[in-house]
Amino acid sequence: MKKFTLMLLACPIIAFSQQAANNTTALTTNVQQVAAMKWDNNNLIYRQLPGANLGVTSFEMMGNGKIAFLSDASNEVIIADQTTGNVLNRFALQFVPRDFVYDNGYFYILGENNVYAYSETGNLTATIPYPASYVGVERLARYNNSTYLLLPSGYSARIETDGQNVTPQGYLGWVTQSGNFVYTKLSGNTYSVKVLTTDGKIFDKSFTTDKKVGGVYVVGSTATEVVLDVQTFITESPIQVERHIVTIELNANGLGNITADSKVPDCYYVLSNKEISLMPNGTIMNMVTSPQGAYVFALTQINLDGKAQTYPASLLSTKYHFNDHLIAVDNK
Amino acid sequence: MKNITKKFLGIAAATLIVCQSFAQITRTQIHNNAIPFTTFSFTTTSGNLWSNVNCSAVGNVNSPSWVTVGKNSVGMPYCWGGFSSLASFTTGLTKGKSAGDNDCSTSGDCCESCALGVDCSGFVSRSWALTTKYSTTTLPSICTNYTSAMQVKQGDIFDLPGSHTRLVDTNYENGNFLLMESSAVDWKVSYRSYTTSQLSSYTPMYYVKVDTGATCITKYATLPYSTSFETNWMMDSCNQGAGRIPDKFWKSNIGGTTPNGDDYWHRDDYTGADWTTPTNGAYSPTASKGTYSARFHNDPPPAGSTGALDLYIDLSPAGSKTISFDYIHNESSPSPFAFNVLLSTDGGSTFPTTLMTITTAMVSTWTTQSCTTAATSATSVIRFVVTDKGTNDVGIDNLSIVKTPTGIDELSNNSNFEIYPNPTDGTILNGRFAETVTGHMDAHIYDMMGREVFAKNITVEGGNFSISLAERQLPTGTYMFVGIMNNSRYMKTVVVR
Repeated sequence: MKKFTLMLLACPIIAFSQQAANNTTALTTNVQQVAAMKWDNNNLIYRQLPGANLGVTSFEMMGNGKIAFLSDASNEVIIADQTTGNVLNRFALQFVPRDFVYDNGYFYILGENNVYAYSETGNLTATIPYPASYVGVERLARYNNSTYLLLPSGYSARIETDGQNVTPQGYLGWVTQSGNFVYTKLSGNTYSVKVLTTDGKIFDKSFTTDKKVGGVYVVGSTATEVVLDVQTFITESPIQVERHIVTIELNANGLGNITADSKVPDCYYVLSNKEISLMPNGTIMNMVTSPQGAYVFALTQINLDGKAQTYPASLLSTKYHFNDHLIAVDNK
Repeated sequence: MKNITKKFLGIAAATLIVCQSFAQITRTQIHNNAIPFTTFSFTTTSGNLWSNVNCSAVGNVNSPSWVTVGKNSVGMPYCWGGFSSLASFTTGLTKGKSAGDNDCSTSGDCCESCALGVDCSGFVSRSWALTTKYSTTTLPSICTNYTSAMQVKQGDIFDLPGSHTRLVDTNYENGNFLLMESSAVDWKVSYRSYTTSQLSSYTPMYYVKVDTGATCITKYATLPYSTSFETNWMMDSCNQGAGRIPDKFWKSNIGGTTPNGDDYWHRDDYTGADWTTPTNGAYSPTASKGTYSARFHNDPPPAGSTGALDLYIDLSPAGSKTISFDYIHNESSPSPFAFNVLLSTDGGSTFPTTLMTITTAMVSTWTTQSCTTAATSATSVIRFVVTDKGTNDVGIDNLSIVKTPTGIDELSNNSNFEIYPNPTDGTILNGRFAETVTGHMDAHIYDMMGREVFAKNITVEGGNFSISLAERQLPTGTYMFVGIMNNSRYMKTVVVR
C-alpha cells in the first residue's frame, strides 16, 4: 500500500489555475494528496453489479491522521491510517449505507429509513428513524449536536437533537458546518445561491457560466466562504458533464466573487455520494476513485507566486466513468 | 447452439415489439404502478430463501440477504431478467421459489421457474403497464429522447442501453433527480436520488404512449359546482405535479414569490415529494365535510411562500353566483399571511378582482366563508391564493359555487329587514322589519346548492317573526333566507355554525 501511495505522489506536478467565467478573483489552487487506498478484496472492496459499480460511497477525515471510508460494496466502515493506508479498524453494517459523517467520536450513518450512530469501535449506540415520506435521501449532516437529512429538494430536515429524536423540521437550504443554510437554483447558464446565516441574514447572488448548468450542489460553508460543486453540461443527452469546485466569498455584506474554481478530474471509478467536503479551516477535500483505488486530495488556495501542485497527471489523463463500465445485462 | 438460441430470442423479442399493442398511460398511472414495488410487503418461508441452489435452466440462484424468514420484508427483490408482478410474486412464493436472486454469474436467473422479482427494465415495464418485458436495449424503441436531462418528468426514464434503466419520480430542477430503480445496490426496488454527474452517459427519454403536455387542456366546470376534496387528487399535467389538483377543472400554481419553496396545495393527507415534512402544521379535524380537505402546506420555512389553486369555471349564466367554503388556519401569529379569493374573467391571464380577503389572524375551527360575484364570463377562473408563515397550515373544504337563488340581486340590499341571530346555532331564526307590519309570510331557506331546505308559511306580528329550525338540524354552512309577503321579497344570507 505504501509503495502504491508513493507512486501517485511522485506523479509530475503541473502548475494549475482555473478561473470562473465571471466574478472571479485569480487565485491558485494547490492540490495535495493526503490519503490513498487501493482496491483490495481484503481491504477496500470493489464490486461490479447490475446497475452500479460500488466501492466507496463516502469518506470522512477523522483527524489525528485517520480517515474513514464508507463502503457500499461490503457494507462497512473502514478506518485507515491516512499516511500508510493501513486499516486500523473496520466494522460491518446490517444495512446498505448511503452516506456518513463523523462527529464527536461517533459515526452517523445514513440508511434507507434510519440514521444509525456507531462508536468508533463499531458499537451501535443509537437508531434515529425518519419518516417514510423522505425517500431517496443520499446525504446527511451534523450541526450543533443535531442530525439533518440533506434532501434532494435542496432542503434540510432536522431529525434529532442532543440524542433525542424530534419531529422532523424542515429548512430551506442544506445545513453546513458553520450553521449557514445554503440553497441553490438553476436557470440555463446561470445559477443562484442563497445563504441563510446563523444571525438571520439572507444573501442572494447569481453567477453565470459559459455552459448550461446541470447541477449545483452545496459542499459547505464557513464564515467567510461558500463552496459548491458546479456541474455544467458538455452534452445534455446523453448526459456528459464537467465538474468544478467553486469557492465564493462570503462576508457580512453578502456573497462576493468567486475566489477559486478547480476542475475535478473526469475519473469516477465507482458511484459515490460524497466526494467533496469542506473542513472547518477552509480546506476542501476531494476523493477521486480510479481503477487503482480511492485517493483523497486537499485543496487549498495559495498566492499566485506560490508553486502550486495539481492532481496527479495520471488522474487528469484518465477519462473514466463507472456508467461506461457497467455489467452488460442485456448481452450476457 | 447458443448463438442459434440467441438469434431466435432476438427475433422473438422484435416480434413482440411489433405485435404488442400499447395503451395510453398517464404519468400518475405510471407512478401508481411503480410505488407498490417499493412498498410491497411479503413474508417468506425457509423454502423461499435459496443459497446457491443450482437451477438447471439458469444456473445458481441466491436469495438476497435482506430477505429473512418469517419477517415482513419490504420492497420487490431484484432478480436479473425478472418481470414478476406483485401477484405472480406472491403466488410464486407459495410454490417455494426464491424471493429474488443476487447471483449474477449467469444472466436470466429470474425466469420465474426458480426465482421471483424484477430487474431494472422489468420494473420499468411493469410501471408502464407493458404486457411483455422490455430490456434496457429495447426500451428506447418505444421511447422518444429528450434533448436535455432537465426536461424529464415523472414516469420518464434515464436509460443506458445494455446496462441499466431508472424511472423518474421527481425532477427537482436543481440537478437532483429522485428516481426509482431495481438495482443490485440494495437488491430490490427502491428510491435513490442522483446528481447529473452520477447519470453520465444515460439518455433521458419518455414512453411514447405517456400522456404528455397534450393533456394539458383547460376544462371549465359548470354551475353548480361543489367538492369536498374527497377523491384522490390528480396529476396536474399542465404544471407536471402529481396529486396537485382535486379534479380536471383545476390547475395548481406556485406563487413564485420569494422564497419560492416547494409549496403547493394538495389533499391534506399528501405525502409526496412536494412536502418534505407533511406532519408539521397539520390541522384538526382534517375536514369540515367528509375525510379530506385542500391544504396549503408551507414547510420547510422560511415564511412567506405563496401557492395558488385555480378553479376553471363557466359563470356565463346570468345573475349572481355565491362562492362558499369552509376555512381553517390555526395560527395565532400568522404574519406574513394573506388569503385571497381572486377572479379572472379571461381564462386566467389576469386576476383583477379580489372576491374575498381573509384577514382574521386565527381561525382555529372550520368556519364558513362566502362571497358573491356577478361575473358572466364563460372562461372564469377562481383562484385561492395563500401566502403563509409556515408554522400551521391553511385548509379549505366543502367548496360550492352556485347560482344564487332567483331574486337575490334585486333584494340583497334590502335594508328594511334583518335576521338575527346571524350566525345562528341552527335552532332558531328571528326576523325583524323596520316598520310595524302584520301578516303572513312564505319563508324559504336554500342551501348554497340552491336546494330548498326549509319552507313554511309563518306569522309576522308587529314586524317580528320567529322560526324554529331545531328539527331541521341544518349542517353548518351558508344559507339564503327568502321571505315573500305582500308581493315583496326579502332576502338575507344566514350562516349556521
